[in-house]
Amino acid sequence: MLEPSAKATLVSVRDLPKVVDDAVKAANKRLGTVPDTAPAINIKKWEIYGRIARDLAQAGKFADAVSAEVAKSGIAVSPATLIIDKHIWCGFIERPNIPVDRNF
Amino acid sequence: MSRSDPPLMCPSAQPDMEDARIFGVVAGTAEQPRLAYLKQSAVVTDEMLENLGDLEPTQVFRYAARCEESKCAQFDKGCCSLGKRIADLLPAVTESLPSCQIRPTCRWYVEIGGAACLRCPQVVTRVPQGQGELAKVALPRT
Repeated sequence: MLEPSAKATLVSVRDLPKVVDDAVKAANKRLGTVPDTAPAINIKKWEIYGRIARDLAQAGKFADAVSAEVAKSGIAVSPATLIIDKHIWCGFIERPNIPVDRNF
Repeated sequence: MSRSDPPLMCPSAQPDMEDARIFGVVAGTAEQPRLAYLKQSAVVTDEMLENLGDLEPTQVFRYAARCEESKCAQFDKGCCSLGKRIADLLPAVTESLPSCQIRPTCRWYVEIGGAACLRCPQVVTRVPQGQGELAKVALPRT
């Protein structure tokens, strides 16, 4: 028989994200769905090769065009456009570095 | 209960049941799960639910929902047999009643009283196979 612990835990708004993260890890361990040693989040490093564009339409066209040219050289790439603050980054991401693995 | 009373809630419900709501997180450890009760203001977001990976929501959260009464295998002679078995067979795991949002309408509390609440934190709605006493208690008697 288990001895009663002091009190049941009460979760506040501030603590909720961490409590949920820990609960997901514990559930994965309990159910054997993810190795215990797996990191909580695993996102591969990636970079956009390209330039900064002035508008989104132009950025998309450039990303498609440069990706098509690079692909002719046999390098696996995907067009990419990213807005950070006021800058629109466009170009390509090397496929091996596309962040497809997201283990929570 | 009178006709004007709100319907009783199942404290070990599935997310697709009527009036389903999350009232706790299955915290603790892998070996010893313990429900952490949500304060009124702590609301689980869609983003949190989307980040469960291959887990079922009931493996991470506890849901309450409107009791399905005779549609549920645990309902027997007008009462929840699961709540009674939990109170009869499982040990108390907390020494005072948890601060629980659903207590006023919880079927286990209404039928059994605080004895159910003292055991409730160890309940995980979806019990993994082989999890000892909890798995045995969860099975309806035939």
